[in-house]
Amino acid sequence: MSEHNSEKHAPASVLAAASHASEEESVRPPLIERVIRPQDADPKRARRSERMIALFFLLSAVGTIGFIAAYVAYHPSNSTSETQSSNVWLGASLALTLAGLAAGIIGWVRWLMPAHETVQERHGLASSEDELTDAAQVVMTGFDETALPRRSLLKRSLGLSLGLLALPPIVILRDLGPLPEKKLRTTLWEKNSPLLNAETGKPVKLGDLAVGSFTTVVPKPVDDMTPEEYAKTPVLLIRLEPGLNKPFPGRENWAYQDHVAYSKICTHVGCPVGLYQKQSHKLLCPCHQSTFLVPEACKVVFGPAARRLPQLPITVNASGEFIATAGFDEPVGPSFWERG
Amino acid sequence: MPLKQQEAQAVRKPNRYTDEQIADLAAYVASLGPGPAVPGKDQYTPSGADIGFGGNLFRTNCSSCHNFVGAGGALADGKDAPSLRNATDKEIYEAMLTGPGTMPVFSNNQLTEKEKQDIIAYVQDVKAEPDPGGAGLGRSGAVAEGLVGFLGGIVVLAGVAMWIGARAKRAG
Amino acid sequence: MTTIRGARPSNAPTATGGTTGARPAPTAVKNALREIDERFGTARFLKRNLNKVFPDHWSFMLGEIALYSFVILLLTGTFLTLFFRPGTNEVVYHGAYVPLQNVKMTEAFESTLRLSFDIRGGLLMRQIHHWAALVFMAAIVCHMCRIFFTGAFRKPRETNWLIGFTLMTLGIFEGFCGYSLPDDLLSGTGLRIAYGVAESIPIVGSYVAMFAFGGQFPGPDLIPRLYIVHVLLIPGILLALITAHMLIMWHQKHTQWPDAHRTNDNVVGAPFYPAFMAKTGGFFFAVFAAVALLGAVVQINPVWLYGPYNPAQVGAGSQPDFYIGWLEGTLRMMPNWENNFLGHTISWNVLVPAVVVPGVFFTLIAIYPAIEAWVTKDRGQHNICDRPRNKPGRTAFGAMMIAYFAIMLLAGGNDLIAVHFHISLYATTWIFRVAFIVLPPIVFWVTRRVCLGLQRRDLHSAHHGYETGRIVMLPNGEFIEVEAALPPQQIARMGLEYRQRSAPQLPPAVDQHGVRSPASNSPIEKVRGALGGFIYEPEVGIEPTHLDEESEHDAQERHEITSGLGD
Repeated sequence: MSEHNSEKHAPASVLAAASHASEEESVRPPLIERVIRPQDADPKRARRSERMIALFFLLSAVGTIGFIAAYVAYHPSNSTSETQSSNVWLGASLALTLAGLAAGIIGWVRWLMPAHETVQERHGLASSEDELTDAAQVVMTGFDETALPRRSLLKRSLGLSLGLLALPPIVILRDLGPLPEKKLRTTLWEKNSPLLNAETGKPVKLGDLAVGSFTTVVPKPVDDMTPEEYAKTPVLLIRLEPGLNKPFPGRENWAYQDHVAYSKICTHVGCPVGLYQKQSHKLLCPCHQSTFLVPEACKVVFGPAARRLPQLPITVNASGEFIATAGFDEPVGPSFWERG
Repeated sequence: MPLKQQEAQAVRKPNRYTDEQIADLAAYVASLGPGPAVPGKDQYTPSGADIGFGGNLFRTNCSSCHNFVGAGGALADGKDAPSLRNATDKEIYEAMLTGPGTMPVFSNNQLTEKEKQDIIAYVQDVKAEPDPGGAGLGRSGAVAEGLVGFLGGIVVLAGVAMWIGARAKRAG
Repeated sequence: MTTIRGARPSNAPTATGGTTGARPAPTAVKNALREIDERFGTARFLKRNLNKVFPDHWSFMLGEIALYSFVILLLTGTFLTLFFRPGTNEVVYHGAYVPLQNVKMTEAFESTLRLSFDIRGGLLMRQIHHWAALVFMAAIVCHMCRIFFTGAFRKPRETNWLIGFTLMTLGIFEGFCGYSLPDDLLSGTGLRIAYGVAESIPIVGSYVAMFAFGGQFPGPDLIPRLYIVHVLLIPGILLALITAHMLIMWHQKHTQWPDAHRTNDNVVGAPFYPAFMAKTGGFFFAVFAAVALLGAVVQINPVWLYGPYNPAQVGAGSQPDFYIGWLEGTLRMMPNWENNFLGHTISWNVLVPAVVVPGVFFTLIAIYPAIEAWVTKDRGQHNICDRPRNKPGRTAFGAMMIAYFAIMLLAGGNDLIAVHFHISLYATTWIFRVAFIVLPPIVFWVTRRVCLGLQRRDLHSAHHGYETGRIVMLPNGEFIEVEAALPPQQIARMGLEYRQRSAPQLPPAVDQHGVRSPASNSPIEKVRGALGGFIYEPEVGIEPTHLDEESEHDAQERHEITSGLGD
């Protein structure tokens, strides 16, 4: 114990003199520096640290019990605020369990396990030159044993067989999806398609929209379309101020009494362009801020979209309901290579 | 009204006029020409409304400007669509009917009174709903979550790592 | 500071009682080991590997954050798979969340709502899973930066850099698939964008889109395909690659910072068993505790607020998780360039930001170690970490890449920035466009100057010592400040011998016989030289102080007066 007492007053790092070393070869990595912490020098300090670690582990146990209690006490389906209580109490107690374990284990290693600096040699990853030569020799000898160098017919036919083997996995994936063909070019919109309110399915009549108003319409009730058919059909019906619309040349009859219809699917990457600013008559796509000027055939005035929104020609039928006079004259949505 | 200063977005400011003066002004303007009247309580109070359907209507017509739950969003021309956090039933009804500023108009032929009530019911209910997952971060989405993940998660864990790797305290 | 060889490390019993190797193993332990050893030959393995030394620095634990986040993702993810249904068939919601009552939605969305509002612990598991995903990706980025700035990707660790790079890209894709599974309005918008990006690829775009999604958007097979990719295919590959990553690191041993006693041929630290095991085990619980706490008190991905996906609907302020958010930024910044010719369209406005920019970015990251090794012709093994300041060219390049990433990421949230800071939306787009071009080269230049300045300061301190603040008057009336030498360990930590050397002297283009050197004409060598201009530095010299000019007599006098005053 005399060594122990002297260590209490010794400088922080003590290097054991080689003369005190034992004759036996140590099984642990050699030391560079023997670190004596307050816990190593003073047993009272060590016990205090142990109690601290025990407290952390105890808190962890409390957390586990709390988790089970919270699980039993709250049922999330009763109300949203009970969902919140369930979540916060389950989570907080779980966090306590884990944090207690974390703090306890980390405290244990930092205060009670040795903190000595040990060293280990790297011993070079590379093998010796002889071993390298031998390995190369093994590779070459084995390769000669395969008879490949001499048997070109074997080599070539093997090459053919293995090369072809790469094809079936690719071929069998052919039915992952249909060929594009003309699918991206057409939508369900065609001559006499009604403009139906997307939410209610009711036809939009002349007079429903006030000036400065807009609504989303589809050609068939949503439930009568597959999701793939529906995804490309949303159209915006906008009522501009009288006389404001400057139709594209040749499209003078595509509008009806200041009502214009344009595809809602952005020509950039396909988000719905839902933002209409009534005063500036701009359609703003919220995804990447492409902006389309409605009175000028939705030409692009800002943002990454390169093309105008496709226009749907509309008119009003005998019952006063809006209908399309034809489908779109170009593909709807983002561009693709064969678009034209 | 009147505008605080000449700028893109009108900012809310303390009222210049009393309620009585506002009512008088409104009556005068109404006498000048046709237009929607001030809505009555039975028009804008969303009792018995279909909240789910109102949510659907909201997400088709409103959320692209005002955000999924009405937290507000950016517009072009230096404007923004304000948050609906403090909007009352009456204000939401009036806004839909008249289209303040650059907001489009939703007449009662386009969105019926019942549909407007559904939308109001949805907005008010969602506002009242607590955030069951914890702090809502303004319900603004992945940007705030990413910030918290980096600052809350990584910084704290780096701190724990610093504790683990810290130089041991020497005795004496 | 002699290394003690052959000595029992804890000869004298300490108060903590930790005396490894001080008592022989009890028979039970030896018998247990023998049973296993006779079947697997483990004793040799254990003896060598339980003693393996791991260096101690907090920056070496960043990779562990990623590793343990992955484990947490596996655990919470398994829980979620027990309840989530990846169906695209339409159902009507009759669950506990009122604002979505009677709303039509896919089964995928409905089962996510059920997990959140009807299953106890379901919302917690969902939130821990998503927070762990964010922490996973953030930790990968931080860990990659640490490896980069310390040059730990150099030989023999080039393979691990490539494996780590692959882990990062797979992680990005995995996260994208994961948050798209609930089929909510926010993630569905992201899928629509992905379809549009696929369509923009020249020649094969529409085929790629149709084959990946199973048809036109949204594609009936999409959610089930995302599901199997997310829960089986990518986790399997990740698990295999992470195992390889760890095994290689184990075999090659960890790098370490320059310090006293640390050389390129040793590792200094704590043994694996029990100290390092305990540290890393405790850290696992800390990582788990952190994401559990986040899952308890901070809401993430509230899909009930977004509503079910509908192609006619969208919300303002739609952003993906940050590891995709930088691509959102490039899509927003890009000008609207598109070319049509001969019936074909090339959408530069989509191709460049979503395919070319990430392609270039990722390629640069993957091949950087090869480029640096090629330029510097460095074939040596490097086991000592570089201090970032000692390699100014590399550090500046890394800082520049981080600047690009930060600009792209912030640009992805430009509409939120516009709303919160009352800046015009279009102005934010332009600000980011200009910043993307102008800012990163400035960051490169500034970082390089800062590194050189820090090197100069290190050298100065190493040679002249530090100023103690004590003023002394010499017999000739001159006042000087006592400078004391830095402790040797602190100088060792500066790693001065590992600083970037200046470029090697090339032979002259034409030698004295008029023969042209083969290297002078080769374009490859010219590129090598040009890149070397960024990496090599002129030697940072030690700035002379007035003390270097004093006479020997004055120096001796000063030394006599000031010695012993610096302690």
